[in-house]
Amino acid sequence: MSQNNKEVLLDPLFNNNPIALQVLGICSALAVTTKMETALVMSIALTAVLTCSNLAVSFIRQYIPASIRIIVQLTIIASLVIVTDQILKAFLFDISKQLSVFVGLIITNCIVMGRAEAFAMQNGPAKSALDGLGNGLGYSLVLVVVAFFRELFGSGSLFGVQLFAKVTEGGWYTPNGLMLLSPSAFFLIGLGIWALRTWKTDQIEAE
Amino acid sequence: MAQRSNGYILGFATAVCVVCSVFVSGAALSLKKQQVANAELDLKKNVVSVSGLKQPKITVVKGNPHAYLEQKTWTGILTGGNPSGDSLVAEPLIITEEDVEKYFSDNPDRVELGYVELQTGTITEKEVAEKYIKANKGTCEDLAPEANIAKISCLPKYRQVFTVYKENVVERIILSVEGKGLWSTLYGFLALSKDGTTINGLTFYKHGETPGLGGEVDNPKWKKLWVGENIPYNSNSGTPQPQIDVVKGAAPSGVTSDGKIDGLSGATLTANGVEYLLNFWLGDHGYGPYVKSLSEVANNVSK
Repeated sequence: MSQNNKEVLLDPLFNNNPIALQVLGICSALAVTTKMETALVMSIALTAVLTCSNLAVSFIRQYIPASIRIIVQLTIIASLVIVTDQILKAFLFDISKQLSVFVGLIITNCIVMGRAEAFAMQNGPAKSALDGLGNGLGYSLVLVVVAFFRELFGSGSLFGVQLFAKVTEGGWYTPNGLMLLSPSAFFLIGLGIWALRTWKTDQIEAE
Repeated sequence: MAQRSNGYILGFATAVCVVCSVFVSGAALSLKKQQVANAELDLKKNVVSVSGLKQPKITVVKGNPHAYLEQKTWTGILTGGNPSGDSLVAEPLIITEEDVEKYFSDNPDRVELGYVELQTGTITEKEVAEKYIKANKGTCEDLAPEANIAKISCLPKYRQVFTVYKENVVERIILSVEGKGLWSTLYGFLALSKDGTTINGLTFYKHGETPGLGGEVDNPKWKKLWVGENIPYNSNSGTPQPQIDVVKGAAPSGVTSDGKIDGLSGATLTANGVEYLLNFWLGDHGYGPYVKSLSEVANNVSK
């Protein structure tokens, strides 16, 4: 892998994270991160859709008429999302029930269209697929980290396995109810962005 | 990018649409069988889970007074907790495909599907009801908007009821319930004791509520709260109406707490939806007449 491709793949993890720096795709990051399991499946679904949509858009980028390019991208993304939803319903029925509308809402996830418009329209298929994969992983990283804290402190468990015995079950841990509510994801993402910018000072916008 | 002719743009748009629709319908069709099977299995699993036929494994926790709180289980109320501080704790109940096959076949312990004519509350022969349902697909019974507290889209003439047999004797009754939550319609099953006075279990098999908030209606711990609740009736206005109440916060305990259930934090509207749908389906327009007939039969037997 050339240096350039490596950057395309790995940059979105920390240097140019879609959630932490571009602040895209926040709504699903709030909604599906109360549990590790749903966060992980959602991450995989979004990464798959993003990689495939970038690949498909890049393949036909020279043929897409500029005047209808957004709706063409949207059609491709919507098709991929429906197929993903169908696959989840067929093979991961229980989890697809928990994710409910949020798989469908990948269509409106700003990351997917953002990458199609900003990257796949200008670059070749291989590089675009890498970019999709990288941004998908960047999104996944944030989701999994947020879900880790929310499930651990909100329910005292990880992947549904009880780690902290709750008071209601005769243990010592009083679950933090706030962690199960959406605002906690805002706080966690905010703290994450703070930590990231302390580490990578070049991400701080000039005032 | 160069300017393209209108013909090219139209052609391109059509081509993209055709390719995408072939892709989507191909996937949908090829996965349909699997999805239908999943949905049916899931439905039956939910029926079995509220049927109480499969018992959760119960363990004794030595010297743990806190576990005393966990005395309500799927199968009813355990005697849990004794003076020495030991208590009984039920493990989560997992229903497998084999269980579904077992309990939906001709077994002494089994679940049987039947139909109730809602208005009269009488059990209708399966063939008659199924024939009627097939012939009158999409026709609904009259329902005044103000009576439709569960906001259902269609009130059928006949509705499913599952009768649970234990050793060939009726053990409990499972009603199929549905109603609006916050975003979506919740579909579920309500298990009642054979005399129809006590709730033995509640579970939802399909809904689109927010995961982690309204979606917590699936939480086993919340579902467990329903077990053993007596259904309170309010007879202020003529015929007695069910008065199940999902309370915001924690429900009071004691004698006055019948039919009062803890709310779901952050999901008041979903919890209210559950309250309305249960009161609807236990009321006059739902299974009310049938439930009443159950308690009359039980009373006659005990006399």
